Amino acid sequence: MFSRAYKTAVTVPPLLWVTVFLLVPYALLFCYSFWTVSPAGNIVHHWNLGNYRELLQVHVYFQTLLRSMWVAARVMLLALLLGYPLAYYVSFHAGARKDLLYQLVIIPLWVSYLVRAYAWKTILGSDGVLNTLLQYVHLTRHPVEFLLYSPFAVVLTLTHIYTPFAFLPIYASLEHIPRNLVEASHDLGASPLQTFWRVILPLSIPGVLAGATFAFVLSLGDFLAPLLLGGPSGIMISNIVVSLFGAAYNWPLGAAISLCMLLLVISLLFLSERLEKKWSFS
Amino acid sequence: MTSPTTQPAAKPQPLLSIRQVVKSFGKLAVLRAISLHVDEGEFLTVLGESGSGKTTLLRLIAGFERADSGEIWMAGERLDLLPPYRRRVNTVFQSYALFPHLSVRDNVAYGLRMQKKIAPADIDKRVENALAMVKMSALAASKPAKISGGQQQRVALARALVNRPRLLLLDEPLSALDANLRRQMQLELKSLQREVGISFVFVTHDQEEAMVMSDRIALLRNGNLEQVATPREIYSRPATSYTALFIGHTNLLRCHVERGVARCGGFQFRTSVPDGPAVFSVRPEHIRLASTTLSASGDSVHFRARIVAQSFHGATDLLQVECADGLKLSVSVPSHGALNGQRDFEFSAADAFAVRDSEERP
Repeated sequence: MFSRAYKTAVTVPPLLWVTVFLLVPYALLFCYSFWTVSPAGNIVHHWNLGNYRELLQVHVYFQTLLRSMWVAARVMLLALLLGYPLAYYVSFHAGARKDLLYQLVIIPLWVSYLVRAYAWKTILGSDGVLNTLLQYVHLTRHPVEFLLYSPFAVVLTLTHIYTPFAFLPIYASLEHIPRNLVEASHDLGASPLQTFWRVILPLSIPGVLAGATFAFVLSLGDFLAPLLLGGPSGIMISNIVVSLFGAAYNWPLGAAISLCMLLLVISLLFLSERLEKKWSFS
Repeated sequence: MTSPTTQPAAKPQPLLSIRQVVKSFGKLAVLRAISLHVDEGEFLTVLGESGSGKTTLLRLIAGFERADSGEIWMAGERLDLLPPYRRRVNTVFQSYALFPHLSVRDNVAYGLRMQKKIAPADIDKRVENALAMVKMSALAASKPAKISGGQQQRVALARALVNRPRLLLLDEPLSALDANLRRQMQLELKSLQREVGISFVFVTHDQEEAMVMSDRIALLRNGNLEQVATPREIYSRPATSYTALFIGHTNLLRCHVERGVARCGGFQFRTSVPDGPAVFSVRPEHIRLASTTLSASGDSVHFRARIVAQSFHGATDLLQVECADGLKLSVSVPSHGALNGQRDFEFSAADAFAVRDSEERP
């Protein structure tokens, strides 16, 4: 149907792109993770498992990973708790304002990530909007310090940033539910609440899984929010990778951590896809 | 004018009574003051073209839409004030609307599980009975996506009937089936309805389907009821030219009546219709080739016409004929081979039935 030349013309550039900018870097990452750094600061191309051994022996890496997962889990949960009702309302009850509300949820994605993270710094800081307000209404005499530079600030900011990512797939799955199923449920004597539990929620599970995966995976790998708002206690695994590739100058160890993260994320995506398939019935 | 003393004994209350129901979507008037009743155990078909308002009428009864004005009563109770899940009415949807995540069995059990008073053992028994009734017991564990359209249709029927509603609403439930299965399901549905004794309100655009299944047909046109009558009555005594054309085929003769004689081009025949313009319906099967041996009886109308086209319909042939004055008619004759040229035709004046002119054709 299409000529060979045409097929070549459309397939080669994207393949080339993926190879040069994705596969080659991953291969390099893989190689680096088995190399070492000499005391003089040079990369030694000597293949060994030292980096991986270090990851198992030095507890701070594993602890930071666990802490990052705990942050990501909280963000995921909050994003679902906010995103699901929002998506449900917009999809089923917004009526004529549906498109407007949808746009309102999406618009923050147009704003730079940095701006949104800095906005929270302005709100949560000791001279920030929230503290000024608290002191103004005499709820506290001194600025509340735990707000900024804490895991709390990181979870709050990431929730704000990634809730639209949870909202979108949930909204899409709710929009896909044929409305006559809801009518059939009512017709068979199910109240709106029963209909939600027995028809709407089960049929929106693929969207919930996709939204949860987005929120968790994106939060897990985030490094700007902990950098700007986390403080020492809010450090996440990506911050360690960044410093290993930067100031600490230990690319091999950074590569080893990155590769572990990559495997973790790939298995999460795989698991989520399997579950989504199990819950889709079309 | 009947005096109170001579009134017949009060008829039993109809099960459902629709009173002056009006519904519009924005500026579009969909139903204009519809009044209709459904008797206990009756199979009523709401027949109409797309856009006639028939589905909206059904959705008002089910409770998915609210009427702008008017009332709907069922068994002595205002139905239109209740939410759909409190109405003892069940619906078979056009696309069946089976829950894709539930098995056939769980789909059928859905309505019973919503009622708190039924014991689980009773639910199981009733579900099995309902599945057996529609011959779907063998596929009870399947998901709806794994069964055929005809089977989905049966499940949808079982899912509605298992709740023993007072009234079952069916929204073109056979339209997705192929012709053979469709004819088979028409008969099955009709006998099932007799068996369970539940009133059916069946919506369709297919006049043949309506004729085969219904106790009564309510013909809806542009949000108005054109005629409500039994299939035989609506076919043999159509009230309007629209009805005559929509239910079966017919020829419309636009006549002028003067002193008991109707004239239309070359025709003239006696009629009891008052003087003035009138429209008569003559069914194609009531026109026959004139026999030369028999002398014309008093009320038979003779005419000569040229056969323009002939189509074979099994036992009968349908002829398109054209009279000398250009009037075109359809004639249905027993199949005896090819016919052509000028022929003599006749019909009985008694078969020319005066109908109210509805101007537009369907």
